[in-house]
Amino acid sequence: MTPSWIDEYARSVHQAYVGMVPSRWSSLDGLKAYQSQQGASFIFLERLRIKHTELGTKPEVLFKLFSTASTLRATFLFLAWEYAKISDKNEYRVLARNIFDWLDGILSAGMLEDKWVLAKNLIHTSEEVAGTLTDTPWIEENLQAVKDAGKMYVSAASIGFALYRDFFPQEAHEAYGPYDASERFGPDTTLVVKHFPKLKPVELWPEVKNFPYEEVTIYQILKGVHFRCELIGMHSLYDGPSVPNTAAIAVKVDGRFLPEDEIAKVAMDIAKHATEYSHLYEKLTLHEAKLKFVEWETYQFNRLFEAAGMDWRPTDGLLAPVMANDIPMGISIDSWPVYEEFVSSKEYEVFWLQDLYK
Amino acid sequence: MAASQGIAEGSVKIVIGSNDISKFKEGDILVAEVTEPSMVLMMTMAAAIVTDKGGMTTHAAIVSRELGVPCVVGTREATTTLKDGMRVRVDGSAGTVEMLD
Repeated sequence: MTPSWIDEYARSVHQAYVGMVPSRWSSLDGLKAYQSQQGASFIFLERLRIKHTELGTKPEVLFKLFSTASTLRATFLFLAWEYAKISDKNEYRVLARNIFDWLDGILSAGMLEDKWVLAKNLIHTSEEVAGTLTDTPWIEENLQAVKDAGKMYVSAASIGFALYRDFFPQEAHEAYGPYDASERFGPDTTLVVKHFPKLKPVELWPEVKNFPYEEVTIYQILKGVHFRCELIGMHSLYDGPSVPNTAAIAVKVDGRFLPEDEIAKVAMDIAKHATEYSHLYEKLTLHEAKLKFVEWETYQFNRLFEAAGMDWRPTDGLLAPVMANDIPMGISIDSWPVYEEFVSSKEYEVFWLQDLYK
Repeated sequence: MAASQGIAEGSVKIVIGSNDISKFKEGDILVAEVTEPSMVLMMTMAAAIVTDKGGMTTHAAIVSRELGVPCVVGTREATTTLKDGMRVRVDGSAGTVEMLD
């Protein structure tokens, strides 16, 4: 029987691509990189799945070991793409089902509803939301503070973009919500949480060892304008302008809420670092960019591997095909097929996911 | 494509990378093929952002909405049609870029 997540996945992924295209990404062609691995990613993750199964790690615990919910959903996206491109699928059918079923269990345990984010990205319980609404030192009805928080958003997002580039920015950039905020802020108000974790990945980039910040969170109360997002939560959309319709804002950096007069200053400091770090990737040779891609690929799971007492770093099985194949820098997608073609064509992954469960 | 609401007028600056910061002033209109992290300082100074490529959830569109500045994406030709110093009006609600000179 085909699991229900495939249909939700298909609608979610199609929606996300329609929103992004036409586009050009300048980093290594990640689709070709995953294609080259021909099942090696499943072998890599199967060791992790078996170990955590032996340890009895609960799926809700595993969910929290992912940097963001979108990182987990992106894992499906990358694995599904790789599976679709495996030449001899018979060898990998059991393995692939094991991994997809395991990941689906983790995603189901962590998401409160709408786990494929057709509109909402909800992971915080009502108690956690109530605590945030009550305990946060809100800056209310202050347009300048909201604009400064916007600069903080762009600065932190740029660090994530610079250090994880086009295929893995969800490691360091996520938007959660909308959560009902009416009990604290009145009718038609919602809370959105913009989270930037893993901003200082020294394991990937020793050059960032002196970056002064590791994590930024922006809490925003919207009034009369509605937020929604997509598969990759940072793909946020509003039904009106969010800045003038923000009733309250708070910015937390490394556990400390910033006073109003510090937000712009810290945002500019982060922006200057982002400018500097944006050149790190640009300076890489093609060989180094391939290595970096596979490091990013496995770093998504670093905390899961560490919790299992295992090494998260790339194996030869993952590295060798990427290094051996002709994988160019840059990828352009000018159009995307209509939904019916996307789910039925052998060119795309949904056909092969359905085939996997026949 | 209209990606972030609002109207802004200003001087066009075609931006390729971080070195363009030397010519970029507060209130300029940032015009690029796509936006990149190297442009972050200019994005925080821009009165509006215009790109050749992109949809509603590409980088330029997302950050413009968070900054509260108008944005038009997917023009296909902004970087070739517009030139540095041209004055334009960007209507991020209508998805238009009007040359004023």
